Amino acid sequence: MYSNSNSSQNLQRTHRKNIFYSIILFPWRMILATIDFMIIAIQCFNPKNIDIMRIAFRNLLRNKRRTILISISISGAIIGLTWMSGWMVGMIQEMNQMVIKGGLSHVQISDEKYRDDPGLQYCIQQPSEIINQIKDIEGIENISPRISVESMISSAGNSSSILLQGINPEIEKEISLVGESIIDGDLFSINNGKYIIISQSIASKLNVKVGSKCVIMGPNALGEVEMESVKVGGFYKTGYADYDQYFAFVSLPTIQKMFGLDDAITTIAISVNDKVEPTIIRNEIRSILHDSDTSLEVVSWIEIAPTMVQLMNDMEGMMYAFYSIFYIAMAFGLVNTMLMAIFERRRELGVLLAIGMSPRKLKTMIMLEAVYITTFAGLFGTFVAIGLSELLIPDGLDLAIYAEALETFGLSTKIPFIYSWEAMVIPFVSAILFGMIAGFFPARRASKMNPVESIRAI
Amino acid sequence: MIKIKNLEKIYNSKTIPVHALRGVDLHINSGEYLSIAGPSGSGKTTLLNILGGLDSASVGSVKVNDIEITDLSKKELTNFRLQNLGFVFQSYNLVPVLTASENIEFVLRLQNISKSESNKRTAEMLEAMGISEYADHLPGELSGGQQQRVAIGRALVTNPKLVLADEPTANLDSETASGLMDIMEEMNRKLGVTFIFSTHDPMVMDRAKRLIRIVDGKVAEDTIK
Repeated sequence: MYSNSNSSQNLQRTHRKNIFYSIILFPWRMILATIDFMIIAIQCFNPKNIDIMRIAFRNLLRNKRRTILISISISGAIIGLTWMSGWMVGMIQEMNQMVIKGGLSHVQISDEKYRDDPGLQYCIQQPSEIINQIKDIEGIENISPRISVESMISSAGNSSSILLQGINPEIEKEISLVGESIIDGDLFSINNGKYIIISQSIASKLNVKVGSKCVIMGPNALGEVEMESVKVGGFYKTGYADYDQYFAFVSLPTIQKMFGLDDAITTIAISVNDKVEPTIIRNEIRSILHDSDTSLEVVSWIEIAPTMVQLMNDMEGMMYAFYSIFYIAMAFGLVNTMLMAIFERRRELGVLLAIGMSPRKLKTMIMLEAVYITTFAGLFGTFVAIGLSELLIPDGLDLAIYAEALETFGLSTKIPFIYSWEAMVIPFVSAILFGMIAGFFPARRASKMNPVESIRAI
Repeated sequence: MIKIKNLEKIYNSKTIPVHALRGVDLHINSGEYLSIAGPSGSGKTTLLNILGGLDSASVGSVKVNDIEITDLSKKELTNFRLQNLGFVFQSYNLVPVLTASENIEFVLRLQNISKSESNKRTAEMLEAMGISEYADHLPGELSGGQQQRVAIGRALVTNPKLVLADEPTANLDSETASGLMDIMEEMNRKLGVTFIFSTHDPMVMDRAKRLIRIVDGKVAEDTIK
């Protein structure tokens, strides 16, 4: 005979021992579970399991309402994520474009003191020699010599501070924003002499039009103010307020003559191929120039604008954080659905184990159901996201009402939806992966069922 | 072929034990056609489950064709069931999303038998069961008797040494039940498969060549007819 207090104490002792061993064994169990997951995940794509795949697929059609409901919720999450990442990638690319095409370019060569004290006293005296040394580097698309001077522009009515840039318009139109943003006049008019290209916002401020006369003035290498009378050759509008309020362009010869610079320039701006990392080109230029001129500094845009780089990285990190939240929520929903499905089918699953189906094949079958749901829902969600984006906002997301805030991040008011692999493939593939993880736990549970008890289940 | 020695099964041994089997000794020869009868709770289903490797023995030895199944691991038992046994259940327990032929073929595919060989053997079994015309029907589209024929076909298609049938006629009318027993007797004669029925059905008990009665977890009667 058992006394009640004895058996109760024994139970408590057993319970405490079980908790203790559970804690000790937890890491080992996690490792085993991870290995098991990887084995089952591979089995899901093994063509020898075609019969299991068939059953898994048909099982989804047994309760169409449930399958449709969970698929809709997963599709909704994928649509949201694809859209969000499409816009995020678009924003990051816009920021990237603004930073690189907005003056920094991919790589810059300047005097080693120029970045700390940007003035004409720190010029590159023989730029053509340097350009000849580096022009054959693979990956370089354009090399643009520039002169930049903090200046003033004045008209009869008003004046404005500007960053006056001396450029070669043939090259510059390929690598900077101004080339694609002319709205009146002609960028190449600056080749005809003392012409200037200004933004529409500066023009409005100065109350000038194409052909109007203005005066530009800025400090030379000695700090003395030089002046020149110029005509407005054209207007540009990039949509980036920071850029538009600041940059003005004249030809290189005009600015060199104005400040008595001969052939000197302040920076050599280099654009590189999309497939090449700017830092690789930077390193190659450094190694070429190292022996010939040690007074030069070669930097990539990443070093010039670390805050922007950090901001872009933060945005990317935020995107992945959103992914995680969505997927965890989706996984919980899927786990719940799968557990319900297994509970309803426990007798059938017990019979399958009884007639000789291995627990591994059973786990594969159940995980496949999760994979199919997430695959179909993921595909559907991705196509709907892209389709809706093309249909409703083909020209990009117009955020004009947030223009002021967007300026802070160097963004224009139109954010394009970018069909990058990040925007389309990552949400889709991640959904399948999370689906597999979500399906794994119910699968494991099912494979551990006692066939005898399951067969008896009503 | 089956040697059971001093078989005991005790449930909940650490708290209040329940002795489902209390020292069963049996010797069953290859090709026998026998039924195990007894009142509810007598232990007949437990005995069948242990023979089928679905449950473990607490004490004793069970050898099937010289394989000591009480020593097999879970994985080995699964393989043992697949290669050596066939099961027929009271509620048919077919996979509802597979057709009749797919249900039969499925166990052959679990054994990694080629598609062509599986198709051939499945077609032969459907013919033997008299349900070739229902090959592409789902279980939900078949009568109880037809479903049980599919279940028997599934149990026999792998050429098992032993078929365990737990109340196979319980959900069927007498005519259908008799027809099924005809088929199983024929398979027993032709293929030499050992059939063990767990049953309350007097018709099944009458048609069996040997009757074993289990009462309170012990063999109370063992009659060869």
